[in-house]
Amino acid sequence: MERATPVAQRERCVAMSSQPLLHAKLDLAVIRLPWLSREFLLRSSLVALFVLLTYQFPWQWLRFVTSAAVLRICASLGMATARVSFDTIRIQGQLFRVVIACTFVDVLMGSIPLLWDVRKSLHRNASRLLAVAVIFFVLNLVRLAIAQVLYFRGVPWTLADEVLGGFAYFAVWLFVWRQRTWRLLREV
Amino acid sequence: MTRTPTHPALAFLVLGALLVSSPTTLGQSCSFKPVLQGRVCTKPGAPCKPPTVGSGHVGKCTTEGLRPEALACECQGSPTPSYNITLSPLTPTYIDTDVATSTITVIAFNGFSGTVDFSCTVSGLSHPAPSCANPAAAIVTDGSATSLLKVSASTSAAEGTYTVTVNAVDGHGRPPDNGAQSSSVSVSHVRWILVGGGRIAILTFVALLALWSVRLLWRNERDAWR
Repeated sequence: MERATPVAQRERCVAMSSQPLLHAKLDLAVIRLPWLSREFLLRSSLVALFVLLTYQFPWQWLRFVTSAAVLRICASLGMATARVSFDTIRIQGQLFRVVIACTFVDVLMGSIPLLWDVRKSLHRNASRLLAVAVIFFVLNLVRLAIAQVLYFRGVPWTLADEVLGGFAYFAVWLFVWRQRTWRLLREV
Repeated sequence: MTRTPTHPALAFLVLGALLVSSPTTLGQSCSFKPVLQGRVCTKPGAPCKPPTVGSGHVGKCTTEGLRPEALACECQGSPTPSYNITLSPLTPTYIDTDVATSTITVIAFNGFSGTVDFSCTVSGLSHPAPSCANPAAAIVTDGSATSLLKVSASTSAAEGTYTVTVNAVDGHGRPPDNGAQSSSVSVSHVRWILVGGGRIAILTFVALLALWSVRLLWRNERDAWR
């Protein structure tokens, strides 16, 4: 805390002279920033690969199941609902199309490299991932139902669905972080 | 010890021999005579089996030799080249002010080749209906060809479900064997909503992740100083 004070003072001078900036840069160079571990980088690369792979398939059955679940939840909440096609539903006269991102399958697939425990057997990992899939599916349905309720109470769709979706992604990240078996930073 | 055939057995053998030597002598039924491409007909005037498309495939009875009671049923004439058309479902099934497309596939039979021209009509209870441009002609060279059907709706198109019918004619003015084909499309001017994460969801996630990372680093730094 004490060290931080002079650096902050110099940063305030940046607008007035370039010389203090040079000093500030030199000082920052001295600070050893932690590096991400190789394992984390590898797993992150696999996350990207798995998500890309996920979008190569239509996931029609999952889109149908998700839309059916949302339809039932909304119907149970007293909304007027109807199915239009396998991935499209009509709620309160508004058409909603369930796309792949809505099923959370991309999130699940992307989580696999981060959740996989290399010290455990394939069977144990598969069982764990199955349980995670169920948890994610329920979490997804909850956020979709909340989005529908918020939307029909006047909240803009961007806020009701997308911002809430961002929070749901973050909740998944926190879950993955707690379950992780890998180190984020390289050991110095 | 050998057995000698009895009289009833002999009579049975003779009857059997007669049946084998002349299958058409009993009654007036046609014999099953395989003809072109292995097709047969079961009775005079009946279509040939297996069914093929095109003309020239109806069985005809002819007398065999000098026996007027013996009829042979045969498929005469070579099958005429012909074609069928199929339509894939129009996608998307609901349109607002955009375009729904469908693939028209021409399936050729009996060596059919040539150009097939298409025309389309949109019918429905509501007006004005969406419009469809006549699909481009398909040129059949090796058994099949495709063309694209486009149905477009404008803001003035009335909401409702419409039937889009595609007619076809070949270079000789002949329609497809399976006739005109139809598919349906609906017009809805209700705004579409795509459910699922988009850019804003990702941005929200990244912002939260950044805040979380800063907090984590700050806590680590604080613990290091203690």
